[in-house]
Parts: sequence; C-alpha cells; structure tokens
Amino acid sequence: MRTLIRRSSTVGFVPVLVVVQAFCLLQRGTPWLGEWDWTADWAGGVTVVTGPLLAGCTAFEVLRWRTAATWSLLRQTPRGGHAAWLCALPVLVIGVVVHVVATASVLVATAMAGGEPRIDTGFVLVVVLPVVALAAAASIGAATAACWRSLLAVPLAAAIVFGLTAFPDRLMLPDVLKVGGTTGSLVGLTWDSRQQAAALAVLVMVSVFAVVVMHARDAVRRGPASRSIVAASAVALVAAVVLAQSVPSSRLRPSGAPIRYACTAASGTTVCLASQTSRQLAWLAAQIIRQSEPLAAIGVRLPRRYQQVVPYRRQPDGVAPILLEPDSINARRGDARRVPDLLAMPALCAADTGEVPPPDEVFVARSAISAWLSVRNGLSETSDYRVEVFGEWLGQTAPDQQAWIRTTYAQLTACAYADVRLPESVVLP
Amino acid sequence: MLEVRSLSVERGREEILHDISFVAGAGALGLLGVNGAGKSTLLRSLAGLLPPRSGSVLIDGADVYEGRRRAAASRQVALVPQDFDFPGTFTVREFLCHMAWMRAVPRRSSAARVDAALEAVDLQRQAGRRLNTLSGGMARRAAIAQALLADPAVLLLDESTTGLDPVQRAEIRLLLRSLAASRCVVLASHIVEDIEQLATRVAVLHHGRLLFDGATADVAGPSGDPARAGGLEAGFISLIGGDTA
Repeated sequence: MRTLIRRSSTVGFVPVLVVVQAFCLLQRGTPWLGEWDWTADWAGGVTVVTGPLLAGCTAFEVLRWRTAATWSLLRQTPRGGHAAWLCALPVLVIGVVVHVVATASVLVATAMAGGEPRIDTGFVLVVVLPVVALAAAASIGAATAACWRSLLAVPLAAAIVFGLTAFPDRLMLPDVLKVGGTTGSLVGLTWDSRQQAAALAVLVMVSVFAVVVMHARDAVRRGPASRSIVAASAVALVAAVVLAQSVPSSRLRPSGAPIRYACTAASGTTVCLASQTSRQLAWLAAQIIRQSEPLAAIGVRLPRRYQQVVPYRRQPDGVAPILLEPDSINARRGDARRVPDLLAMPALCAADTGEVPPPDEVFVARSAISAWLSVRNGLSETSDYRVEVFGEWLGQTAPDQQAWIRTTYAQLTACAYADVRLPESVVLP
Repeated sequence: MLEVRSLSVERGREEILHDISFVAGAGALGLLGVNGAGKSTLLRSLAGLLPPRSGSVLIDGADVYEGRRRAAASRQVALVPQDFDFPGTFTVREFLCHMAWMRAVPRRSSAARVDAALEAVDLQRQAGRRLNTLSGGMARRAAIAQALLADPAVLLLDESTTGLDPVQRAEIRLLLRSLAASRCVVLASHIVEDIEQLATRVAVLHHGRLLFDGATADVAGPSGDPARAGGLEAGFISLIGGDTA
C-alpha cells in the first residue's frame, strides 16, 4: 500500500490539496481560534471544497489504472477483484491524511490558545464525518471513472460531489454531505446527534453503493447474486436518504447542558464569559472596570456582574449583558472602542429580545451615554459626534449631562424604557 | 494442462469465438490469425476475463469460470497483455512486488519470487528503474516477469514481440523458448516468423473459428497441398483461403 500511495498521481497534487485546505481554513481569518467546538466544525467544513477535489483526483487515478492493458493484467490475477478499490484507496488515504493533519493542527492551535479540549460523542462525530464524507467523495469519483472511462469523468465526479454538497436542496436530497463549516460561535449550541447519525448513514451508504456498482461493473460474470447485491445496496441507500429526510436538516440545536462560565472579579465587579469563548476575559474585565470609572465618578450605580449573553439562554435579572462581536468573540483582545457600547446597556430587558422593539429614545440614550463615555475615556473627540442628534448635548457643560446620565442609566438598568426621556437639546427626527 | 472445450464467446450479440476446442500441455502453442481473428479474445477468455456463452476452460482440471475452483485456476494462469502501460512511476521491483500481491504470492516468499522473476527475464540491473524509462524490450520483459511470479502452469502472451526491434525480438524469443520448456505457453501473434521459430504446435483462428490445430510442420510442410509448400506463412494463407481481411 505504501508503494501505491507513493506512486499515486495524487502525490503530486498534495501541495495543491494543502494550499486549498489552508486557504479554506484561513479565508475568514481565525475567528474560531480558541473555541474547541467551532474549530472542529470549521475544519470539517473544508470538505465542501476538498471533497470535490478528491473526487476528481480519484477519478483521474482510477482512469490511470483502468487502461485496457493494465486493467486486464490486474483483473486476471487471483486478487483482481480488489483492483477496483485498490487504485482508489491511495487517493483517499492521501486526502484523509491531509485533512486529519490540518484538523489536528487547528485543534492544537486552539488548545494552545486556551480553548478547552472537550471530547464527547458530538465532537467525535464532527471529526469523523468529514473523513467519511471524503470517503464518499472518493467513492463517487472512482465509480464515475469506472462507469465512464473518459477524462471528462474527472470534472464530472467533482461536479457531482460539489452539487450534492452545496446544492442538496435543489436536488431534493438531505443536506448531509456538508459536515461542518459553521461561520459563528457554537456557544450555547450543540450538534444534533440525529442529524449526525443520519449523515453518517447516508455517507456510508453512498460509499458502499459506489463500491458495489464499481465491483458489479467489473464482475466477470454479472449473475443474479451480483445484481441482488447492487439492488440491496441501492435500497439501503434510498432508505438512508429517506431516513435523513425525516430528521431536522439543521446540524446544530440549542444545547441543554448547563453553560459553564469563566469569571474574574475586581473592584467589586464580576465579569463572566462562557468558558468556551473566554479568551478575552482578562482584557475585557480590565476594560469594563477602567472604562466605567467616569460613570462611577458621577455617582452612577453600576451593575455588579457582567455576563456574556448565550443564545437561547435567558439572561439572569440584574446581570449586565456582554454581547460579543461574532468576528472577535474568540480574540485575545477586543476593540476597546466598543466597550462604551457594552457599558451603555446595563441590562438585557424583555423588550430587547421581544417582538416589539424598545422606543427610539432608548437607542438614542444608549448611544449618547456610549459617546459620553468614549470621550471621557479619550477614545474619541466630541467633534466626532457633531452630526449625531445628541452632538449638541455632548458639548454641553458637565453638570447637566451628569444628572441626565444618572437618571437614564438607572432607568435602563431597571428596564423602565417607557420612562426614558432625552435631554431637551436632543430632538428625534 | 490447458483444456478448452467447445468454447463460444459473444460480445453483445456478436459471436466472437465459435466452438473452440483444443488441449495443450508443456511447450509453445502458437495462436495464428489475422487482425480481428479473435486471438486476443481467446486469450482473455482463457485468462478468465471473458465468460463464455457456452463451453469451458480448464487448467489442470479446474474451470476458470466455476465459482469455487476459479481462484485455484486463476493462480495457474497468467496473461501478458499486448500493450504494457502500467503506471510508469513504479520501478520494476515495485511493479513486481505489487503484482506478487495481486497474484496472491505468500508474503514470506514474495521477495524471493520477485528476484527469481527478475533473474528469469534478466532485468536484475534494471530493478530500480522506473517503468517509463525502460526500452520497449525491457518493458515487455517486465510484463513477462510479472506473469512468472506465481509460477503459473499456463502463460498467455498476446503479440509479445510487436513493436520490438530485431535484437529485442530475438531476446524475447529466447526467453519464451526457455519458459516453454516447463509450462504451457500460448503465444498469440500475427507475426508468422515468431510462431515459426517458437511454437512446435499451431492453432489457426479465422473469423472466430479454429481452422487448424496441429504441428507447426503440418501447416508449413507440403502434406499433399502444393500451396502450403512455401513455409508457415504460405501454409497459413492457404488455410485461410487468402482471406486476410
């Protein structure tokens, strides 16, 4: 097998596979770095591109072996029945090795960045499924080349796999070849085990069916037994597809497990981030404490606890929300200029997540407080807000501003949105 | 021993071989016929690659198309196809090692068998060379070497000297003569000279039918027919009635 791998035409294609793998992993930067589940999921999503590539490579390799003379030579031997999959296997091994090395690399990087390694059934499946998807892609490539012995089988195999992966809905098929690639944090979410099981079943049956078709096509005698096996594998594939149609199409669902938080406390303020995405905790806690000093100095009663908002989870009363930007949720340091926005929202109220949004006054009040804090913390100039509706107010004397801020901040903290009044100089358009 | 009984082979609805029967033991059997006569089809059928519509192919009594005995029979027959286009990135030794596995040569004796096959075809010094760097004659010898790995009772060679220069052809003939001493070698060719020099027995195929099966001398010799007095070529042309199409 080592010789087959070393002499495979795909060996020359390894640098391309590596570059494509790296490009797909890094094309959006590394927002997943530091979050274990997201990293594993994102790495699996690369198969949307590498799967079709591997299908094309497999088709090419199979065609290389399936010349009339070589194929006669191989098939005539006692182990000729293995020839069909034997020429495809080295390509799959190469593709899987490149994928596994890339996945292991990003997981190690995430662990080194502080991501908590977490290995459960969902994680194992999310790591295994891309390998099975690659096997299915290689099988489709091999079967395409076996059935259509032309170089056109190479792009055709790639197109088939890409179509099944990227446009399953248009083909009225379950979305199972896409086995990763979530573009946002997985905090508060988990993989749907039924969807994963269905994906595994369909992918395995696609591989089995492709191999069976290949063998049946190559069989010296196509007797009733051979036809029965093809029919049985086709029935099993259809059954797996029907089964997959009956499970939720979404790969992710809200997690029922308790959310674990990493917290830090200083100066009477506690800042908590979900353990999965706690990489910027120290930086954020320091920023919250430092940037809230101007509010404390004018007598504003600040929240004692700030906690990251987790999707599908109710924020506890009296706890200020931390809404992290998706692109920087796992960054070691966020953007200091966004901290005033966070401080200007001391509570996540029912109106903030309900169907009826809060009054416009609430949004303008938060913006005005954020701008005031930003100026006081030296992050921006008063002139930066000249065009805002509160631009004139921001230039007023401190005592007038301070009284309004104290009152409004208390109203925002108490979710008394109906009571929020804007300063006289601020007129809504 | 190779025994072919009433073998008929179809491709689609067309009958390629019709009611072929012969028996061959150790020695070289020349399979002579014009292009399209059915020589390659017969060899593929003898190798177990083309199931017959009717009839059977037996090697040492085992039918190459009968389920249980097929594996045993396939170990006893080896085909050397007309073209040799094995992936050229393999070295000669790697190619032979792979084919040893395909031919179910036990792992412990595989290396020794590969060395023996290399020695038999005099390719020891080229063992580390890639297949795509070999000359036509060397590549043909490598193809023959793979067939020898499992020490088959029946060796099937399809146009083994086509495309070779005179020196290479002479070398291959010498090799085949030595191989035929201990096993049945079926040599399909439309080059009469090769058959004449190698085979003691000839089977003439024409339009999928066996026209003649007997000693080479009987085709080439007079045997009462003046048209066949000009050697094997004249005898062959006479047998097929001048129909070289």
